[in-house]
Amino acid sequence: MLRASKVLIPVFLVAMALGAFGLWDRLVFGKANLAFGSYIPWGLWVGLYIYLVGVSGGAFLMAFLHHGLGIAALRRPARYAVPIALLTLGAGLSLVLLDLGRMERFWYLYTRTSSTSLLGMMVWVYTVYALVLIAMLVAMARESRQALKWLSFAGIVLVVTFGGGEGALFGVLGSKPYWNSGILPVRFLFSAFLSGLGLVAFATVLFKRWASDAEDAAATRFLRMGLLGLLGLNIVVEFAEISVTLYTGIPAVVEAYRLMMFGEHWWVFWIVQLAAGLALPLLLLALPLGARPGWLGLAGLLIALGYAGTKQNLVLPGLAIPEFRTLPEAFVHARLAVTYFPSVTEWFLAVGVIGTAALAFVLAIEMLPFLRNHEAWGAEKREPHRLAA
Amino acid sequence: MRSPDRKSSPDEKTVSRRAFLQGLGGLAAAAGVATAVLPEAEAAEAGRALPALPEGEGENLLLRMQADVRRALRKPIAERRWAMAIDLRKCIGCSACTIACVAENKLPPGVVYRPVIEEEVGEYPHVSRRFVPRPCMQCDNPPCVPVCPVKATYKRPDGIVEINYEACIGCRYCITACPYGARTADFGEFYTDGTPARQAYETEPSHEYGRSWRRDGKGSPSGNARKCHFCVHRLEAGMLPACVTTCIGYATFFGDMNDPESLIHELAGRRNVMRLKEELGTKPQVFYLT
Repeated sequence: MLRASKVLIPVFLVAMALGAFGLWDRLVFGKANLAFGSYIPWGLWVGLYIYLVGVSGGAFLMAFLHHGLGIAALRRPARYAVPIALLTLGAGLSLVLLDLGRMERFWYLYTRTSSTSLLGMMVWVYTVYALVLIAMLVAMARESRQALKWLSFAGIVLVVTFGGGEGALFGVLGSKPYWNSGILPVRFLFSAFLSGLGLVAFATVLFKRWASDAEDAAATRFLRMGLLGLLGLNIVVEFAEISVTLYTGIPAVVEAYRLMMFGEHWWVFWIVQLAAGLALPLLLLALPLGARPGWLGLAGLLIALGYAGTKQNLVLPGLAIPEFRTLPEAFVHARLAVTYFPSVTEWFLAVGVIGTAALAFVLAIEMLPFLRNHEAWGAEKREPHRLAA
Repeated sequence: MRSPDRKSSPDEKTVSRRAFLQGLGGLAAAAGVATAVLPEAEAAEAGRALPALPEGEGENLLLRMQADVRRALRKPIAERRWAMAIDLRKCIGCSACTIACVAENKLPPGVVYRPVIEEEVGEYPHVSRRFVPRPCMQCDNPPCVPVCPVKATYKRPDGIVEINYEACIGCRYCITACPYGARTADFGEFYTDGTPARQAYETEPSHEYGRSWRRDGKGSPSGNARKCHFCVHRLEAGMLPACVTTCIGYATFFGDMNDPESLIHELAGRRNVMRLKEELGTKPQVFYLT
């Protein structure tokens, strides 16, 4: 077992224990201990759902680049990318399932799907995508390169569909000027690619089973440049969106941005989103330091964490601006407030779901033969004396 | 221009002096006979009897609107189009409509169908307050309907946007889609949570959408999105929405927009009519008189 696995498994078990408490609370007390309400109807879980599903899409991009486009340097990261894509998808969908007011009716999403609802259609896209991921795992186990190639092409179409579609879920709402933008699907897609590639880069470095060889160096070089390029692209897209909308000066939009930058949760924007998610990784990757796998992994982790903040900053300020300025005072109740901070139950359950997905990943790479075996990694075959423990 | 309420006010009925004196004399004679003939208990009973309602439609605003509703009910549902008008000059912000709605629909904590939004206008020393009751707009182009992933909310033939509580999964996408903030989520809570006993008024059934919904905190409508439905259960029994009958200032009007004889049709054609956020293309069916 890798040393990282030995260290992290207990951590993830603790996360699962916290999650179990959150789950118990959710199932026994319903929504009583959740902090969101009617004017802020979506909270931490929905923010994490769109984030994790985006990460899944980004991770899949890695698999597509290798299996679909044949970029050999990404062979090892691509192997981790598929289980990461499946597990982050599962974690995101689990959180949004737990968020439903009537969880027991989730299957209505299949039996009563509305063709006019983006959310309704997305459920089918997620389902097909999950099946593609499972099929890819099977193909990986059988070393079926042809199947992997075609599955990765099918998968990337689905990724672009739901990656952009998630942005459209918000972008189509004329009720929320902060969200109502045609560029939102593009922002979602790029941020998904970035956070997914970042997480896979981090996992590849952390759970390294192979010797540092030329392939390893090529993968590091590719990931470094890829992440730098995507970071640059993201800056352009985000700048275009923020500058244009702020210049327009629509009060509800300006107020939402003011809230995001200088409101109660200012630190999410300045520290998580900008410093951790953008400035630091940009610095790490741009400097010669970024050529070293350890720093690349750290940059990937920071990007992945930073974009979790980005998604929260998309959901919450959009909801915190009431439809009418004095509406929250018209009928006063905690569920009709326009301020929100996740409750302990929400935090615990979120930590638990993510911890469970992370534990499943570690167990998969330790136990599934096609992820663990020496043959799977190729280079290990050539250098058997440097096998990991 | 005379306002319709004034036009139809019973206070303005012209009664001739002769008729008035004759009536007064008749009353005095009747009272004398009753006192002399009826036993004491029966006399008291007679004194409590309600006065007869005016016969003609239009004698009283509420009665006129009620007649409008009953006339609409005689038509097929697809030929009705319910609408509401709220006279902002008359609303005094008493919130009686809000409370009537809560009582009528047995709304739990945090669920409100018709808040009254208060706004301050102007700067000192020229300051005034404006009250804007905000029910569901029952939009003709409702943004909440197409986003529902399970077709649990839809536009009825009579124009009311309905929520099927038994299909709603509680994703709250419709809540975010409503530009009026008119939908709220039922979190399954009770006013008496944390107290020794749950009170009976909280478990009384509501009759939304013509069905009996007894909240127990677990079954629907707990966990669902909820909103104003123009008291469709009352409408179908020939009664006006609770907010209309409760309004102490006769500031809320209701009726069938497809009926040119109805009061609502008359009001909606006025030049001082405005609708909230019309620019979004939602075609709200609640009109405000300013």
